[in-house]
Amino acid sequence: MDYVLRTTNLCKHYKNFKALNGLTMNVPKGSIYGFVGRNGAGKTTLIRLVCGLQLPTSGDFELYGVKHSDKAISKSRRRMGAVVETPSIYLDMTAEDNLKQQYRILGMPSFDGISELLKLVGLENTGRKRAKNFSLGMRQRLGIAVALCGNPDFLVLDEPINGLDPQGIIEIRELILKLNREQKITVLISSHILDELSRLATHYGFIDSGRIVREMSAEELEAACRKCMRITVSNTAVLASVLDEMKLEYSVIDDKTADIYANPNITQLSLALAKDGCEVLSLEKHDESLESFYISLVGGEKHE
Amino acid sequence: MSNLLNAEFHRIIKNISFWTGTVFSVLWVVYNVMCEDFENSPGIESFMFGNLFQILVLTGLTSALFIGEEYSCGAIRNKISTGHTRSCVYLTELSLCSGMMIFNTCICMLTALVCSVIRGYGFNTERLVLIKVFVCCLFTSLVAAAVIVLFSLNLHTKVSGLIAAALVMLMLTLMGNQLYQSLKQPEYRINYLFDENGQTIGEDSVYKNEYYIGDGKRIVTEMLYILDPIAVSYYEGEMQYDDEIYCERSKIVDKPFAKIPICSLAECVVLTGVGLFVFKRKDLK
Repeated sequence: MDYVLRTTNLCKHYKNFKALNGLTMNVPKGSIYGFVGRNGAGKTTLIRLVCGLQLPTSGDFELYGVKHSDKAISKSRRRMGAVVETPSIYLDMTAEDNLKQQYRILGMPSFDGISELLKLVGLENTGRKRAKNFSLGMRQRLGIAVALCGNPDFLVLDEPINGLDPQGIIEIRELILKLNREQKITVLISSHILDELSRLATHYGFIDSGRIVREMSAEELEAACRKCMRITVSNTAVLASVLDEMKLEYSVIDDKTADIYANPNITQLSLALAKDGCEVLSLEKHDESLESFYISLVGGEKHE
Repeated sequence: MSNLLNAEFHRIIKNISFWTGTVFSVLWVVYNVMCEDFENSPGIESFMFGNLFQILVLTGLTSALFIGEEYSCGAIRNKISTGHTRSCVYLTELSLCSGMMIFNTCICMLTALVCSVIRGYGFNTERLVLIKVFVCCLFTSLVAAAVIVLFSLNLHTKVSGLIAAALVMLMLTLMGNQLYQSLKQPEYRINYLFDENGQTIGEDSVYKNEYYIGDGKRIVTEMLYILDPIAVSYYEGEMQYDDEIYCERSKIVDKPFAKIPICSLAECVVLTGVGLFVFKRKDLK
């Protein structure tokens, strides 16, 4: 699998505070990678390192296979666009002037494509209105338009839906899906709004206290959040054979625990297990929402 | 870097604070020449070079605002995240700031020239000396630009950059004034005799001035004076007299036409080196 971004034991320390503490993650090409974590987990710090705004204390990262310490990293960065924390726009310029300014910074030979970009983000009718008179949603969209100048194939969005109204959130979501689907742009999007990410992301990275707690695809996450009966027994091998005979779908978690994706007859199951000398230690319903799954990953750990 | 220069050039020509500073500088020069009355007919050069201090201060403040906007609106992130190196960003801002300083200096000198001609003034200094003073003014502008960029790009917001620029200029002005007072002290003082009407009738005695600084201390003081661009801008307002006829009037620096450009160039290089060193390691937000 091709990866756009790979980090290996990335660390960033600020005086006595460790913002990133051995972070290792991989962003597959063509994915929408949802970067999930609470406030202060290290999401924005990672994005700043990737964008070159800060230098890592230790560890490595590669952008399109080029190490961050390599001089050629600047060429890799030409292939990406980013919105870091707040939209980077000149407030005394119009939307079109902001895009023209970005085109000049990128050294693009002409201003072709600006009108299409404005139309893509829904700002084609702003005319001579200056960015300082835009609403927050309009500024966010202009920030994304600036990031899209130069046709990047990797887009980094740091909490792009913060402060947006429901309509604005829908528009940004539709835009990101369209960019990924039609232009095959890889997107790294950080957020703590899980519900919104679940409608977007194809891959997830859960971060807490500067470390990746779990990386998984959307399919794996869906499987992890399915309704099931979680059973703890003394011998899962016996359990597996009994469940096979009963033709029930299940997955073994460890040597004592399994999830059964059905509503079995508890009495029959217990009797069948007891017949083969297998004790049932506990049985509970398991219905994990994305939020409870996230809490189970990061909850109970100290926030430094 | 050419892309950045092109982008910043287009930004500066639409920047209100820059043009406001330029207009104020020009109006100040016009007021000085046209609205003030002088006992003796001053030379055009006194207006051309005598307002350099005001030009450097005004342009310095507007430059600090211009550069600080990069942080306030976050636009500096666009440059770095698209692959421009920090060196390119720093040198672009330095080039632009230097250009702004030189542009305003030249515009104001031209304005002074035109207004002085309208008032009927003429030159009192020979052409070669004027060219030398003009060259010194340009180098002083470059030093001022290097100082402004050093502080503006290494502080995070428009306001803090502006305050730092103002404070630095104030400090340089005070320091320059102190150094000038020290260098101006003559080696000997004369006690004069006066009649009952207060008219000088002769010299009584000559004594060594205890405040005169000489030898090694003078060399150091002179060097510090030359390294202070605000102080030198004041000095350049009087330098047109530093020729064979008038040299005793304002001569506080030995061989200024050689020292000022060389020291200014060296100072620019050092300040740029320090600024780059700090900026490259800075954690940006």
